Amino acid sequence: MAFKRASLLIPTILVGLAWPVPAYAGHGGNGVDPDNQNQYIEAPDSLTTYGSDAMNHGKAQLERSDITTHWGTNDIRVYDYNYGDTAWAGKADCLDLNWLGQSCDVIRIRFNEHSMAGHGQGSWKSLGCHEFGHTGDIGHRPASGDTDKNSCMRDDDIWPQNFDSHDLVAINSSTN
Amino acid sequence: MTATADIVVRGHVTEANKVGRWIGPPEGEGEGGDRDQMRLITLAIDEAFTSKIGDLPKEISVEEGYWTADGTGIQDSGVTWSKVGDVGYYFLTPISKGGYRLLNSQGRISLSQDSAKSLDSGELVPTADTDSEIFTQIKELTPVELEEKIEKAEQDLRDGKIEPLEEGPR
Repeated sequence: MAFKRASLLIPTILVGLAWPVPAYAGHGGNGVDPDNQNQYIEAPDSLTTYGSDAMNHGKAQLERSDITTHWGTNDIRVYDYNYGDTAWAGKADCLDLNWLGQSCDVIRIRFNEHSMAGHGQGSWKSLGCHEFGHTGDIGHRPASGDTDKNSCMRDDDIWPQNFDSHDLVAINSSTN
Repeated sequence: MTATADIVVRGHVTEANKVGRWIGPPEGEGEGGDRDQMRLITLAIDEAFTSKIGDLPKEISVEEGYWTADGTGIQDSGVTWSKVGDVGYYFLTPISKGGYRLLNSQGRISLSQDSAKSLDSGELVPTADTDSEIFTQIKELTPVELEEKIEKAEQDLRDGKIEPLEEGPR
């Protein structure tokens, strides 16, 4: 087995989106499609201070869209922990599809303290905005589509804290 | 992707649905809803195009999806689950505790059944991100053309004409 060599080793961090196995074929989007515009948010385990900041900020950002948020159970569950070498800093995935199998009843958000080591409150807020954006069925914003660098849905190493107007239009379009 | 991946190989899946490491708090700590067990495939390497980490074994383990603690299977970033016998190109990076994972959700390009028999024709099947520009570009290539592009990128990397892309943190 012959192969060619190079010397660079670059850490790579993946994107945090996931679906239950039956869901993806009919999904067609880049986020997790919530099954309604009233989303109840809970943290089943206690969060760190930064994790709590991220959740509260993400909830407030989602509230700027047509989605109404509440504190309560069975829509969005938020966790933080040192998940180790997972390659993601945050991940939103769908734990339970609705009865039609077309949108998500229960969405899970996780923040990885391992990946976020060394980041301060601002970055955690950006992460919270980002993952809550995924719960509004929107994906990532490429740098070419966010030249003013003000979207928290960027997936490169900048940390805007809020949705920009494009993100909000996208959430409203995806979830209405 | 060739420049950024640590290894780029063509291989076939010899085992699927193996259980891997647990992610999250130990059992009994907390409510447990954030515990996942990684799903592994075993990939037999038919050809290695690049390796930044030295010689490779004949077979490697690759994380591909996971199960929640209650057994629900999850596709990671929409990457479908491989079956035994599937053949494809894999752009991989090592995991600190052993094994590999896809560089990103576009890091696996499967070969159709016909292509798996002959690389001169047939179809490449990117496995996720169907809306992306790279998906369309890959679909237009034959397997041989893809391999030529991988080899050219590897050469360009060694010549300093291209640099690895640092993937985003989220």
